[in-house]
Amino acid sequence: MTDTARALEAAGEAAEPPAPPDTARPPSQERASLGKDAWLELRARPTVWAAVVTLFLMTAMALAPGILTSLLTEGGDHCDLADSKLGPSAGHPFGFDLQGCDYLAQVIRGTRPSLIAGLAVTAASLLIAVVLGLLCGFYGGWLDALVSRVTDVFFGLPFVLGATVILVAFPDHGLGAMVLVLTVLGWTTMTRIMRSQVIALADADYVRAARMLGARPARLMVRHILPNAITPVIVVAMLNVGAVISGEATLDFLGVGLQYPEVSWGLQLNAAQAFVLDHPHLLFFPALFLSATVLSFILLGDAARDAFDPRLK
Amino acid sequence: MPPSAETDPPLLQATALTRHFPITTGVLWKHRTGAVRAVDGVDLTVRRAETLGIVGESGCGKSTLASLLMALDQPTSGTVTIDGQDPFSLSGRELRTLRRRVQMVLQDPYTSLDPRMTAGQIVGEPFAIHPDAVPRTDRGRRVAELLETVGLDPTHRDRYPHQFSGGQRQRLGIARALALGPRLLLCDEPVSALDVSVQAQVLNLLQDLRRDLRLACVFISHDLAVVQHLCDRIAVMYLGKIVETGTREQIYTTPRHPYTRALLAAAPVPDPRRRAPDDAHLLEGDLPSPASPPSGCRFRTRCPRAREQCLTEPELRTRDGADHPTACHFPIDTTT
Amino acid sequence: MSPAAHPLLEVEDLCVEFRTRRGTIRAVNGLSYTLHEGETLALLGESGSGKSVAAQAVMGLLDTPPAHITRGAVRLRGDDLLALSPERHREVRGTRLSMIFQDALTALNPVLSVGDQLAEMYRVHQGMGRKAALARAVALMDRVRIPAASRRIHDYPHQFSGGMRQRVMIAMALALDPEVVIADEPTTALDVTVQAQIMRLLKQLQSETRMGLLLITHDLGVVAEAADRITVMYAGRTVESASADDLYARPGHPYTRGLLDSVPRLDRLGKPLVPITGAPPLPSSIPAGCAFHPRCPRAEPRCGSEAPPFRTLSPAGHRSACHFAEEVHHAPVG
Repeated sequence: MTDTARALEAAGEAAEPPAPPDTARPPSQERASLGKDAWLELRARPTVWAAVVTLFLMTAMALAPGILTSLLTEGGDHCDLADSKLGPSAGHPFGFDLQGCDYLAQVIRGTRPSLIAGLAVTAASLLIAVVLGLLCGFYGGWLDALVSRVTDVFFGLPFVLGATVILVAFPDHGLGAMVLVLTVLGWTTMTRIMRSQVIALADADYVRAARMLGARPARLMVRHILPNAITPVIVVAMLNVGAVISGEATLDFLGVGLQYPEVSWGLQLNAAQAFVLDHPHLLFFPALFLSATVLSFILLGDAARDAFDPRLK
Repeated sequence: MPPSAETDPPLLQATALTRHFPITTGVLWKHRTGAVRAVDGVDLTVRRAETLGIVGESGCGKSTLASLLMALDQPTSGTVTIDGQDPFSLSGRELRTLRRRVQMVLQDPYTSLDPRMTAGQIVGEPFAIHPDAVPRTDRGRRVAELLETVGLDPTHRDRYPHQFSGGQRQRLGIARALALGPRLLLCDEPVSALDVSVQAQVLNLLQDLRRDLRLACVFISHDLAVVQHLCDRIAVMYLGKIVETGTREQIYTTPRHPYTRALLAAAPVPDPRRRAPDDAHLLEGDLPSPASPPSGCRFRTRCPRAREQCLTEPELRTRDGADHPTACHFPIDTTT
Repeated sequence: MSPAAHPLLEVEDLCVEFRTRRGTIRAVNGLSYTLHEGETLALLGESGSGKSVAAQAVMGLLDTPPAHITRGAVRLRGDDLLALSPERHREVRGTRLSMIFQDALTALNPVLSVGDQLAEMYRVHQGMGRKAALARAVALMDRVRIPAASRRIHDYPHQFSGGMRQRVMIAMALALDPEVVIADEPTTALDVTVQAQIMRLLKQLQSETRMGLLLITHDLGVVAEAADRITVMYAGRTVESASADDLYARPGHPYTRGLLDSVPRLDRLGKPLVPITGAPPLPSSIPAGCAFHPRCPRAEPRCGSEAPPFRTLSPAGHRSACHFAEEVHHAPVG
């Protein structure tokens, strides 16, 4: 396939402005503002809108569970053992859980730990990835060798199994400790991507030109390399939020994550497992929320990847 | 440093400049198995306000040579002297000061500008890096002047690189290189990525700047026609070495090295009436690998004049300064 | 009608559009040319001129969508190629029509040996056995002067130098003795000394096979060395067409003249260059009237509104699309 065909294919698929056929590099392929790129691409997709709305709702639930609960249910957080495991009814659309608490209220309360875990772990991993990726990719040498070997080692550890082993060793942990453990196990992917981006960009012509002007390493990294290297890492970060949320729920479900009386989707699923056949709503609603959240982050990540893709190659 | 007492010291000088890239194998314990001799003993001199062309085909080491001359890469051996100073022995601060005097225009205007910076930011970056060069309040005006100097509209300073054509981007690159008032400009294939109808604009701009600013230039290209247009003197490079140096007339009308003559014979001339009727000077084969250059004279494997001596005796070293030095045991007799 | 009565390849009023979500662009706008047996016709143009798109349209390599051939005809010995089914077009493409690409490294499959790739041509199109096909592949490599062909047949593309890879590409294009070979910038990625070898090889092969060669390039030097006739394209349109000698000696279009004045030449030491102002237009915003008028030194107001017809200037078939073609044609060349 020729440049023209490739350029046009890229133009067609990524909805870029018409690329000049015949030019090896249509000018539209290198774009300026990160936010604008993403926005132009994302606003045209209904799935992205659905994901954004879902995440907006989830965030609202995580921030203000009390308000939503009192708006959506009768009696809010009031529990009555007599209502234990009752199915959905008027005023209680999700029914009741084992303790006879309104299940909608409980599922809403379960949002917060999931989102906190997903966002905090990803933010911490992103920070580590950016710093280590920049330093290793730019300077190379012993630091790079060391970090690369360490990432290799962590890469070999299965995420859930590794977390289980660590968490079982320290039984009295809260959400903070889980964030720490998941970060320790999850920083490597983004760091690898960041590092390889930086290595490629450190030789970019415009970095060479800035070096020629006498720019110090800090300026090269922050001004030139970081803004151009970060996009694929952000894509992976979005996908990562979903992965961490499902990982956290898995650990809760397995009984090694959060413990009662904390509230989380994983714990609700765990509690539901014995009554699935008779009371399917106990399984259905937390699973629905969990899947919707994870799926939304994955959709956003995918969309962001498509939006940035023509630049990556 | 006070100006040297010598009369007109060279602005840029390279002596026995060599850069070998090691070839390593092994995953955990890397060991050297050889070296790519990208630049292998190059001598050259650029005086003030002079233009030196370096011509060679891909793989001859001209881009590596450019990096060495600009102190972007450390030589394996040999020295570079810029304005009387050895850039590799300078402190970071001294080297930054030296960089103001030598600047570079890169080949590809599509990759040499940061896509996330505006034209004004790109041309103004030198001032951000050297804050003492121009007072902060004057920078905007200076950027506008620079844009005008290279024939761009200063009102376009807020545009991003992708909003400019290839030729305009290359002008931006030139403006950036001129910002700190360099005395030497190294141009690495500055027009080869441009459309034919735009190349002449950029070549003429470089020609004018060179004259008006009394710039010395090193002009690296694979294109003999482009080099002849801009350069006073020309050095021809083959497989890491300079095989012939001479004035424009010497190189183009009386080439002495068989490689130079072959290059001239192979370059197509845009005139069907001058179609080369004889293939006598066309070369056979390809460039040998710089990792294992031929014994003796490097050009011998493709040279129509090669004899036994060329097999064993290395080519002569061309010392810049002599009149029309040629690294050939049997140079073409130019007197006939 | 006998096949000989038809010209080898005839392209008439070809128009190609690209329809993308952000609008339609006209990449080729009324291109016509005729290629005869044993002849080299150059399609000369800069990036964005539509020369490569036109070649892909002839080859049937354009993907629809986004590309649409809206008008015109492509006739190979009188057979209308555009009317063929994709299936039939593919057959023609392998056997009667073939193409040499600029970048041999990406056009060849990196995980198959060169011999296998050449042999595949015979196995697919002629149903030959592996042994016989490989033998033919060796013969083919000999024909394009690849030294020690029988030893190199099992090498992979990356083991060949740039020039040798381009020879492999040529071998592939010639495998089934096509009547027409389209070479899209065949030497742009190569060094001058290798470029000269490749152009010489193409010329030799052409005299052996009498194939018609359509040479697509931006390089005025390569065209002058190789072409019999030249068609100059600008912004998707044909602006001039003439025999090579005629075009260089007496260009009939200001664009052609501008190109000739602006290119640095070895045969004119130290002569100043006269650049064409501005830059070629993007295919998405082609100026009205004559597309060249914003850059043209001869332009008058009507050039901005009236598209000049493609007219004949001389009995020898020199044609130009300029309102002032005669004047330009008769002006002395600087």
